[in-house]
Amino acid sequence: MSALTHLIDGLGSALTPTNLLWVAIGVILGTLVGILPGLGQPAAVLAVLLPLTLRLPPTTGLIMMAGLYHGAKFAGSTTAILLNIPTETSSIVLCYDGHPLAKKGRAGPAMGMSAISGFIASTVGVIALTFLAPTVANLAVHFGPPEFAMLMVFGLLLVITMAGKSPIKGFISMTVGLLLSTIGVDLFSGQQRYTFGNINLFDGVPFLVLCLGLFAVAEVLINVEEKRGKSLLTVPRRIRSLLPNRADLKECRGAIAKGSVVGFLAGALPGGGSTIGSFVSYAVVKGTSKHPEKFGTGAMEGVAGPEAANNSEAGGAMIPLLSLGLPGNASTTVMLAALILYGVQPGPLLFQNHPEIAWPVIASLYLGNFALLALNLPLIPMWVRILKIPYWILYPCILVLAVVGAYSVRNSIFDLYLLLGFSALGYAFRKLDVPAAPLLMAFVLGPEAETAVRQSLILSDNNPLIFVQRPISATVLALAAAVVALSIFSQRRARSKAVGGQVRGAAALVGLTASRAAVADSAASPAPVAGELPAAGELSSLGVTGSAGATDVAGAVPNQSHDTVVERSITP
Amino acid sequence: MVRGRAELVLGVIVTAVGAYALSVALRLTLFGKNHVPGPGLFPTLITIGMLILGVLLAVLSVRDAVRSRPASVAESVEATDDESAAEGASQRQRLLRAGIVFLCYAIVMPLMPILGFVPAAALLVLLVLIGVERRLTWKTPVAAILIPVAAFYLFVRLLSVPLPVGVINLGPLGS
Repeated sequence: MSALTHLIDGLGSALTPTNLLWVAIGVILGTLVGILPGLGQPAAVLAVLLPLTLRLPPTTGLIMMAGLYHGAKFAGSTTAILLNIPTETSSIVLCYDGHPLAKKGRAGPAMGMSAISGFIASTVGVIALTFLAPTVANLAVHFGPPEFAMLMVFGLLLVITMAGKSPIKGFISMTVGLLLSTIGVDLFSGQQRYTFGNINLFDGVPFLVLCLGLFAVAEVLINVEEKRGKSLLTVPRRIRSLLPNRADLKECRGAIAKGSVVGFLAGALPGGGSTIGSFVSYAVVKGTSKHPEKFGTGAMEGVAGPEAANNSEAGGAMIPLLSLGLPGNASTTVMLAALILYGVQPGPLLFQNHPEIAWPVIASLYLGNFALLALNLPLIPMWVRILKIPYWILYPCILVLAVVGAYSVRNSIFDLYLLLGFSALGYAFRKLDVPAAPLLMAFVLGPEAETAVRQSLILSDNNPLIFVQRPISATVLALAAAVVALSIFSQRRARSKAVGGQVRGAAALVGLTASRAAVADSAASPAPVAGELPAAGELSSLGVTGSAGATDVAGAVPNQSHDTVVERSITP
Repeated sequence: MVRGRAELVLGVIVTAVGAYALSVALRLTLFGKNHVPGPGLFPTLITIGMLILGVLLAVLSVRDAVRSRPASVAESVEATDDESAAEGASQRQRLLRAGIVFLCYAIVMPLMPILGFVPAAALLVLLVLIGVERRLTWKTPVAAILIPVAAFYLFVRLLSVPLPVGVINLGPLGS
């Protein structure tokens, strides 16, 4: 009860006209700066605009930072949905369904859903933070390298949920990402790995350069294949078509709830962060959805779930930051720096010694999200107008901005060559149907996974059983296995549904043909009843011939070529 | 068949890259002093995985190609030569457009440190608009000047983000 009183007190101190003005300015500045490549990550936005907030009183400054943080997060979603450019790691997953929705002319509803689910999840996050902070902080303290390693393995195994038609290609993409993440000087031993003596590779490959090449420039190369005189995507004229409708909201209720819980838990774990949260949330939402087959082609749930996790994580991330003084990600590291600059030391005594700072910080997160919803929802039509720019003007702008983004990371010309190389890799991936998101995900999680695995092996004297001997680690591993099993099951279910439909269609067609032939030949040939699934032997006797064997046709996991074979070999 | 061939090529490339990366990884320390996991452990595991996946993809693509051969033969009988020729030409045209954009990018990148950001980016826009889009109107030079100058003022002047500076003195647009 005291927590609630403190939160209300915090809201009371935060809710002044001056603070509201600064949170609004923070949201707008955060969105405007966050949309620029090179500055898209919330941490970068916070770092760039930190000097501005330090000129304000502590509470007002921290409230403005909350506004900046939420604005930058929304900007990440905006570029991912509209242009297929994830400017931060947690918005990678949005490219999977957000951009296909934009291609279908539903960019506005996708962005609206991003803001609404973010707002709801942030509310859940703040409430959970208020009441569960001590419990979750206790759990977080027990999170050592083996648990963290298993969490990373969990994240990497989620590749299967975004592998599309071919899990092998998804895993190939993942291994390429892991291999790229090992480039540079090893922090444990100082030994160089895959640098080939090039000094520019000692610090590894910058995330943004990889991201811009794989997504932004590769997308341009794919789009430019066809001559486009006008805009790239269709934009509906009516304002109502630019916001999510009731059916969208109803469809996404469950996804928002699941995303909120997953995001909060992921954020609360030191090192968990929004990247893991958004990926796990996507896997959970897809695995439990009634229509998993729609994911990757523009499912609104695929936007709502990860975005909820992404925003609920902000509440969770505050737990290790405020209660333990441990920042979970780059953004909270900048916030930690800001707190220290204000003379506040986060830790177990923060809530006792500085309640006038701690609780308004929590309240400000909520205010930041409210301001985001109030300001950016009406501005969605304006953002969507980006898509109305003729593509012949838009893509040179993207190419130029990609150069700016790649160069700005380390002020290195070498990074421009890396951009060129990754653009070619991204284009080749698209042409060969290899998903790029697993590569990026593995690239982000790889170094953390490696560190945690090596630390765990040192702890256990190279005994890999450490991962299953510790209860939390074993639980995380079991959860990973469950989510992967769920994903495989839902994929098989979706495929068998699709194949069942095709075979039923084939049977009906064959039945029709056979009955026509029967009329012509006056021979009694029983046609299969539409809806019943005939066995492969029956199919072949009915004219459905080809190389697909009995198990392939009636089995649950046929690959695409087999489906095509069945379609092609139906001869009347 | 084309897809199967592409997958076979992909499988072979992944296997080759995996084999080379494994040979490099094996030169790194697998386990250091007191059997502490070394810098070579993780890359070795990754590259072994890569090798297996590459071989698996190649084998599966060959298997699928063998299985789908009768259907492909039937399909090839149905498809007329004209259709496949038109499709091939269209595919070549598409690849050419993407290739030219990539080539423009590849030409401009080494010029960035020589010309500086604004002239090199202007050249990129010009090359793309003329070479790919065939736009020879007044809008082309305007876009070629406006896009880089706007980016320069936004990033360098407003946000203090450094951009490549060339050897040519461009006054206010140089640094």
